[in-house]
Amino acid sequence: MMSFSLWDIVRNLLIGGALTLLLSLVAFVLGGATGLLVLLARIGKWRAPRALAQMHIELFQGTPLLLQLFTLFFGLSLFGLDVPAWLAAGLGLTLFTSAFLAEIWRGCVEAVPRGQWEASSCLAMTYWEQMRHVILPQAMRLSIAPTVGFAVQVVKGTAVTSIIGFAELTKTGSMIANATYQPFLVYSLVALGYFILCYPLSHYAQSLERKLHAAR
Amino acid sequence: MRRCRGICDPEAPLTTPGLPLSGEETTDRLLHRQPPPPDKGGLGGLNYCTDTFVAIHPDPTMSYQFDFTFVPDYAGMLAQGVAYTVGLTVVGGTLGIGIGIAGAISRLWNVRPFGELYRYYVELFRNTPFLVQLFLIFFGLPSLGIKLEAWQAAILAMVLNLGAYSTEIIRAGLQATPRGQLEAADSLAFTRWQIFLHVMLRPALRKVWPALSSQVVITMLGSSVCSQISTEELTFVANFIQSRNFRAFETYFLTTGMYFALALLIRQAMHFIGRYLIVRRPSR
Repeated sequence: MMSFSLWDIVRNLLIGGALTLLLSLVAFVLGGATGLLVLLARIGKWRAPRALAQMHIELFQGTPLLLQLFTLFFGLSLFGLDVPAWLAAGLGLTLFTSAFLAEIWRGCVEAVPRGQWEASSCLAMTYWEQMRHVILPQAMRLSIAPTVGFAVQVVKGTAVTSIIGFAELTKTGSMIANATYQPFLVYSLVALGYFILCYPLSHYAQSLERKLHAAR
Repeated sequence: MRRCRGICDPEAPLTTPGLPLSGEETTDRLLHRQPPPPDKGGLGGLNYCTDTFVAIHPDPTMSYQFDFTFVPDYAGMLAQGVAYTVGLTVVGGTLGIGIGIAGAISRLWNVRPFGELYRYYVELFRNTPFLVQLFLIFFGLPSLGIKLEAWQAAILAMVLNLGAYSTEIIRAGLQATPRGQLEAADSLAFTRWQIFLHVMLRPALRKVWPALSSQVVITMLGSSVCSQISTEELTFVANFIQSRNFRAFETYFLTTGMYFALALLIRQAMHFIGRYLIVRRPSR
């Protein structure tokens, strides 16, 4: 029988952890970009994109991430595409992230006082100029804390991608647990790994929130 | 389709298993096939199924036809899955909010040693994924001598997870109690318990009820990963069905729709509960 030292376990988990980190970053960055588009559609003047954006948000907030991944994983292969797990994972998490971020940011845009819109339109700014120079900069200040807070959700969301076979931290942990027969140790280490990734983020989000409230 | 053939057609291999066929070759060979062999029980039936499937879809990449005809056959199972998910959510939601209230009190009044314990518990559960918590409870705890059934592990994980979030949510509500209200209640000679119940807890729950409802819905959606420890909830049923009929997309699409409906339903239910149990003013 093969035996595993603690270092063997940790070393392999670190590789999985790196993939978790990479997937989170990709999902967060791409999801943020997509979320911005969804946000613009959601608060824009045109009706059709607004309805579409709302549907996108409702759909991805109202269904489990796991089933979004399953549907993508099996749905795309109907079109003859060979979808590897990492692609389905990245795509699914991106869409998931974009829906949540768009909704968070919409709240921030709506929290910008109405007078700001009126004042900037008095200055004969076009809609895009208002957005670019007046509304979004102020909304952005409000949005930093909840956005950082949501990043924690993204990191935790990546754990679900293990189920469709993406070998990130949780999947690596399952495989090692099966090989070493030490599930308690291995899953504790996995949980520790996520904690190390998430705790600084949520701590930072909390302190940002406190700062923002103090400024008011 | 290739997988289909490998699994249920061992007698008449069209090609070396695992070797991909080009689209045209597949169509060609499949269309000029022998009629299905007479039923020899067991695999024969499956063979026949596969052949009908192939006859309708010579090349699935070109013309996939959605087929939801399996739904009536599995309606009972799906209903059971929904019931299981709802059951998990109701038990998890009730106990989770209960833990949340206890936690919020301990944290706020710094009840020793619970206040400190709750702090670690909340941070630990809010910063690790639900799936890992589930695995740790179901696969990890037995090595400490605590053996749980799948459903017990699922409920424990849901309660602990929701408990951590609702502790923070309810604490925020309790902290927002205006000082003047407490002083007013004091001067009206309310007992400590009355003050807590009527002046602190109820208004606090009223304030944070929307956040709490969202968290319950999120927990319900998250319960789909409980299928991974073989809890027989909705996603488990979906996995079972798609492994039977190979209609993965349709099955998951349908299940996703059911979760969506469930989310709306639970949000409505929470709204209703909030309106009649929490927000309602005491009768005069």
